[in-house]
Amino acid sequence: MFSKRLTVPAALCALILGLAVGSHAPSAQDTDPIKAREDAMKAIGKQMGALAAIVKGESAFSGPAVEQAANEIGMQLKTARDLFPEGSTSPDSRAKPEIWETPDDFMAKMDDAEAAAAKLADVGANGDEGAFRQAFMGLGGACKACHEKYRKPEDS
Amino acid sequence: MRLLIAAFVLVTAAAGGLYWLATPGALPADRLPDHVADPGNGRVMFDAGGCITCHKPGPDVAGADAGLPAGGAPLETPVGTFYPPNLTPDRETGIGGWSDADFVNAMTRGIAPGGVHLFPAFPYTSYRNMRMEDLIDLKAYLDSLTPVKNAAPAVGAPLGLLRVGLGLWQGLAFAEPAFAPDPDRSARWNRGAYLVNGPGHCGQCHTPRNALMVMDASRFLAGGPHPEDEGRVPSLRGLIARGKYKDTDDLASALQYGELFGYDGLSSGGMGAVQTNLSKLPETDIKAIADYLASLQ
Repeated sequence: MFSKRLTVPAALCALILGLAVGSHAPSAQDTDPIKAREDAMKAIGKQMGALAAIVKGESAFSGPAVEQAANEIGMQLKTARDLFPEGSTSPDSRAKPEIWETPDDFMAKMDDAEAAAAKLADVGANGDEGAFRQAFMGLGGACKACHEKYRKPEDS
Repeated sequence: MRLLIAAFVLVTAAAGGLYWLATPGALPADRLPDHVADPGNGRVMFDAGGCITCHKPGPDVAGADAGLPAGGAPLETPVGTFYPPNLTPDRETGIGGWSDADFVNAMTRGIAPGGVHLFPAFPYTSYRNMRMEDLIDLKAYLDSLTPVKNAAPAVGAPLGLLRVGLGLWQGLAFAEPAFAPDPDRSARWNRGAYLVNGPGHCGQCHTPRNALMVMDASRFLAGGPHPEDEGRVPSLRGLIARGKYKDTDDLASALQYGELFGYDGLSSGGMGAVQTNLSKLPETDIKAIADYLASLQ
């Protein structure tokens, strides 16, 4: 699975890194918090995309699918809490230094997002289509509140 | 020493002469159109401009209604910290004592009552593209708000000294052609173009500036270094061709709902607040903006 995920340039980078630092390169990459949280963000983004398709009327509402997506998001958020050790940033990272200037506020925003994901999972479990839009927007709003303050714009 | 003084006098005189030449005069009150103000449309302009984002209540009026533009919150820029002023109709500390002509001159020429040149952190280089009627409506909307007593702090000394050069800078910035509608395009497209180029002042962040801090028209909305923050501001050109959005409707939906619909590209770098303001616009205006932006290659 590891090799399948790697693109050619990434593989070359890993190879060069491997030559430079020896045989520990692959495991070092796995424990890099920047890479790990970017993967978590991508996983969340994928679920959010599926849920957004429902709110936009592009796919039909399905309680179990919503519950599963929301649970996956909640789980990724829980993991992400430990992926912001102090000073873990780089020129390419979109994490802003404010994360470590006001860590309590940052974690409170993480709590809000987890709570919103749990609420959305309930909506899915109850098959409550009428409550879906608001619950989904609540989760998106929690993502926004954190990203407004703690994430740099994408370079594009 | 004498030579130095002579040189100083010469340079000052030359700068003074240029300053005088470059200073656009204030618009006299009798040039304003005969227009019955519509505060409802003024509210649309207020949201399109996102006035509240910079003019939000500062720490001195922490208890004030957050929706009132009571001013005084610090605005950090590369040249220093500004304190956007109070826009509520308080006569002493707000703009309650301003006439429509005063307001139009500030918005379109960067000149405050008394002839003071305003710093372009206040984006009058975009607002000058606004229709006079819309400006009069906006003033009427501001006049309808609850007055808040709050005097915003003045700019610090290094910036205060720069003020003497502002007339010159305005001459350079105003030399760029103003926005004009394109008669070959639809009314909807032109409405979007107006909102983006005028009240929306999108170019203030999304258009890179030249060495003199004037927006570079040849790179209109092409993105560049972030003027207030670290990182870069994305380009608004080719948003659909580059796969950022599926189509015009997708872009309109992104502007309307932002990350509340999972569009995670509209939260950071200050865009979150912009998108919140845009979400308050009539849907037709949001669609018009999307229509116009989608056409930029």
